[in-house]
Amino acid sequence: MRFDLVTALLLAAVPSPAPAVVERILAVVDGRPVLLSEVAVFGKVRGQQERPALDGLIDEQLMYHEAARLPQAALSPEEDERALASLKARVQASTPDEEEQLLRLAHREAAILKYVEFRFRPQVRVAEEAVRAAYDGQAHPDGQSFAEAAPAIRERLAQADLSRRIEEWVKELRRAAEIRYNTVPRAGEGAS
Amino acid sequence: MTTLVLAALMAGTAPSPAPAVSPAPGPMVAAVRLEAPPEDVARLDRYLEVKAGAPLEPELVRHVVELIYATGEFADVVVETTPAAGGVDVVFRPVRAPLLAQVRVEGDHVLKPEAVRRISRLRPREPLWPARLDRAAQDLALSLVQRGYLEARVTPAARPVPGGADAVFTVVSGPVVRVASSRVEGELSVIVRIQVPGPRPGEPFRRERVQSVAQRMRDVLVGQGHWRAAVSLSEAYDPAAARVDLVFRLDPGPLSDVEIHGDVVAHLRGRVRALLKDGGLKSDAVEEASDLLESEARRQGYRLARVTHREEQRASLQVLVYDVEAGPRAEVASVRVEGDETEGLARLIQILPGEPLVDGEVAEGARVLTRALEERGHAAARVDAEVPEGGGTLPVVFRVHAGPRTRVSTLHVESPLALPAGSAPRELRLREGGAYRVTDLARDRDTVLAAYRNTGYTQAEVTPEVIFSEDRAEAAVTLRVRPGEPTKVDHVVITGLERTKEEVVRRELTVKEGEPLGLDRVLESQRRLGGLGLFDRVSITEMDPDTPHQRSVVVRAEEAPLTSVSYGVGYAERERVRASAEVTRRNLFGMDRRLTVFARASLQPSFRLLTTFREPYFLGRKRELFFTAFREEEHRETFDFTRTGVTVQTAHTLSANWSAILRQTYQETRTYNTDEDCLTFGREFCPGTLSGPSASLVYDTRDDPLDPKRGFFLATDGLLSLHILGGNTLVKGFAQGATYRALTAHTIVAVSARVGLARTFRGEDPLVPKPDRFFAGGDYSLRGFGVDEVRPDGGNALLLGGIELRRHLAGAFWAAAFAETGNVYPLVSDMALGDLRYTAGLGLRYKSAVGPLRFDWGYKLDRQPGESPYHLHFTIGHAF
Repeated sequence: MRFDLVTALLLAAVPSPAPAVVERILAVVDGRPVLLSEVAVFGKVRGQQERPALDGLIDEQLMYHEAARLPQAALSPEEDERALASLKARVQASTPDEEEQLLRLAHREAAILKYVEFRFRPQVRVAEEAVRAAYDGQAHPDGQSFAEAAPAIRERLAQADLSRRIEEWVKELRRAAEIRYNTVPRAGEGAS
Repeated sequence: MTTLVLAALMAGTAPSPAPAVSPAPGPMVAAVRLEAPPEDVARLDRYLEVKAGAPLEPELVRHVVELIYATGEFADVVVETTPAAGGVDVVFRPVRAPLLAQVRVEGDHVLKPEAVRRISRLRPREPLWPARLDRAAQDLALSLVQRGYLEARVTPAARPVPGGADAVFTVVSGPVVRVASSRVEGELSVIVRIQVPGPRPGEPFRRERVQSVAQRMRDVLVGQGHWRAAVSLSEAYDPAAARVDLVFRLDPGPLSDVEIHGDVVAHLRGRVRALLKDGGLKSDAVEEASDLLESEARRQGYRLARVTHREEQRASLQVLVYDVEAGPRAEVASVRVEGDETEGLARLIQILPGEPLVDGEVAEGARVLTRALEERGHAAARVDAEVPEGGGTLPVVFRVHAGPRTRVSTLHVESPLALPAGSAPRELRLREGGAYRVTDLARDRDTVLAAYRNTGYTQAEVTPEVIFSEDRAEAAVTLRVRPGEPTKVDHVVITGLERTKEEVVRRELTVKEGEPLGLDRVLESQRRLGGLGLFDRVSITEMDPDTPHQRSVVVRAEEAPLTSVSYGVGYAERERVRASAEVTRRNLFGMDRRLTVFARASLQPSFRLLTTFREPYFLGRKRELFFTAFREEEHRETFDFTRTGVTVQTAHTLSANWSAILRQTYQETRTYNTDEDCLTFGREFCPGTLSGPSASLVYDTRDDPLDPKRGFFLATDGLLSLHILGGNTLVKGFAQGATYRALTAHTIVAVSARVGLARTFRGEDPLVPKPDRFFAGGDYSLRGFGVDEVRPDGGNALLLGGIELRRHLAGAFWAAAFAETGNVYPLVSDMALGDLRYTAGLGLRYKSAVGPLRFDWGYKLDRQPGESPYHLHFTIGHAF
């Protein structure tokens, strides 16, 4: 009897292994759940923590669903392969599941980029005055002339303009979408 | 976000080498558990694809989470693993979503819960997510503002209750804002002409009413000729006094009118004026009026008509002037169809000599001819319309270039995969040796494509290939199919059910787990679920698929109210005031069972009570079973009667045309307080008890049961009533057959035969009791006689035969001529063809929405002494 009691006390004292959460719904975007494992792979690819990765994945899903509606954003098998190769060059999958997820991620990213190239790139305009102003507004210790510096400045401004347009697009998508977080929303944002 | 896209851009353009991947498998699953209430576990277990003894696959875990989430009842599904002997224990823990239980209103009682539910459009069992509640609260606040509560605030909350959450709206209505003053500003001369009563000071401010006053003021101004009038409304709200000052500012604009210069369209002035007034003289209205005038001129043959418009200021009047340059009028002198293969084409042209020449009609004529030639197999047919320019009397020539007639030399559907026999495409329109038509080819392509898609090949493609012979006389047609991979149904997730058992929905679905996902199955499932009458709305959608070959399907149903009540009050000469009510309770026990109670009573003492219970699935199959019980009592001047009965009946569809009905009946009729023969006041009141089984077998190929034009109808009924079951002892059979054929497009012949036989046994009176006897004569048999006149006492045997010709007259009217023979015999042994009676007659039919209204005149061909020569009938429905 005493032995049983001691055994029981000893067993109670041994900590049982803590359960690990391997999956859950972090958010719901237009009725589609965004899962923990998807966010983990996305964060791994982007090098982000869970919260920014979740926001990034939500943005990406919104953009992809918009892009997928446009036939011009449809990918050929070769484009799919190139996108996957490019992604695998940056990130190594550690499990077959991750491999599968990377494949989907690569597809989504490539489709979004194709959509962006089709929809926004042609709208990007860089005025010569803006290039001149940017040149005048920065120091040139290497003595680079305007003609020499202009192509790089023009490219930089074009990229900035494209980025601005994409940001506007994402804001618009977020406004139109129904997003509900199961986690704590980021600062200054109400959970819905 | 920007960094994401740009980073991806960079990565896409500058890849760097990566080491090879050597993926590792997941741990083994030692045990799986669903941590939820038992009723949820029973329902959700089917989605638990993660199994003990198999490796833990994250993809499968995700899938389970998605399936459980798709039920719409959970906000989250947390999956935990705990190390255990031999692997990991996996626990799925669904977290309930706040599903709407009830709508509650707290705070100021200015809105009823029903109104809140209607305005907020919250549906039962809808998840009360914060965004949805906020939207509902905004709608409520807006509605209160419209009612004069300009400061209304509505705060929403989801309050957890067992099984969900109540939507609680706390209303702070603030004061009812009243109108402090209301005045009209503008030119005095205009104001005095406005006789629209505005809101009175002190009355509650209703924005809708105020806006409608402004609209009426504008209407008055427009009516007075100020077509561009505008009335703007400004509200000055004083929160301290809860009063609002209203100002209606009138801007009448100039007086306007329209002038049309051009006689050919002068008659349209009224329509043009109305159009311009309604459109406020805006550019759209001005252009629309211009188009109207031009098309009218062209319709009259003024092919070159041109309409311009300008504005003229005449003193205080602004006049919109339309100048119509009609040009010369053209008229059709002749219409000819020339060229090859023109036979029969001319009659397709709707243009007639002497009529105005309208270029649009000529072009349409050419299109009609081209289509007709294509129908004949001239795949490259072309028709040019030739009409001289200008006006006058002009010939119209359709020049036909038919080209060769192309016939289908070979027709193949080539596919690496043949469909099962039942799923193969229906008959194709194109056939070898037949005419080649592009339209048929397109339809056949769609037919083949639909067959594959309905069989689960959702990505199938069908490409038509046509190789013409050199002279284009022959076409070798191949429909090349690329079926792609089949898509099967992974899981069927049912959501939205509150009271209904999932089983009720699943048994109606033709979309089955593990079977091909076909479009027609989805549509059929939707149709069946809609047909149950249990749901206000049903949708079937596919879950967002990552794998193209397996898709889960979500069936979302919104339940309809359970109880319906209908009632009526009427007046009849004999019964005086009569009232009835019917209550139906659907979906009893969540199993689509139904109970209906009908009651009727009148001041002249009488009542009828009828209760019906319906079981939709009898013996585990889709077969309806009805239990009916009734009690009827009536007190008349010459007699009283009661009728009580119970019936159990099941109907079964054996095939597309055959159906069977089985029933067990007990019916007792008793007549009191009379010495008269019951047949004097109606055989339905004759006393008797019927108790026993009966069966009917029906074969029906009629195109329309109410008004058949072709087809065949055969029905046999057999009934056995036994003393041991409390009834009279008799056996009775009745068979009827009718056939319908269209002799011409406007003439139908209907032929009918009926035989009825009955007898008693075990030593009872050989004549069966009066209510069970056969009768003849009246609206539906031997129409030369009145109702039951052939043998007023009825008999054990009946023979009837008839033929009727129905001829369409005009519109909904038909004429009929009929001849009938037959008789009623006391006993079966009395039957003799020599005793047959003969009648014939004429009739008129009017096809109404409830069936043909029928008026017949029947004449006795073998009138006997004391009989009237003819009889008139007016009723609904054919005699046979």
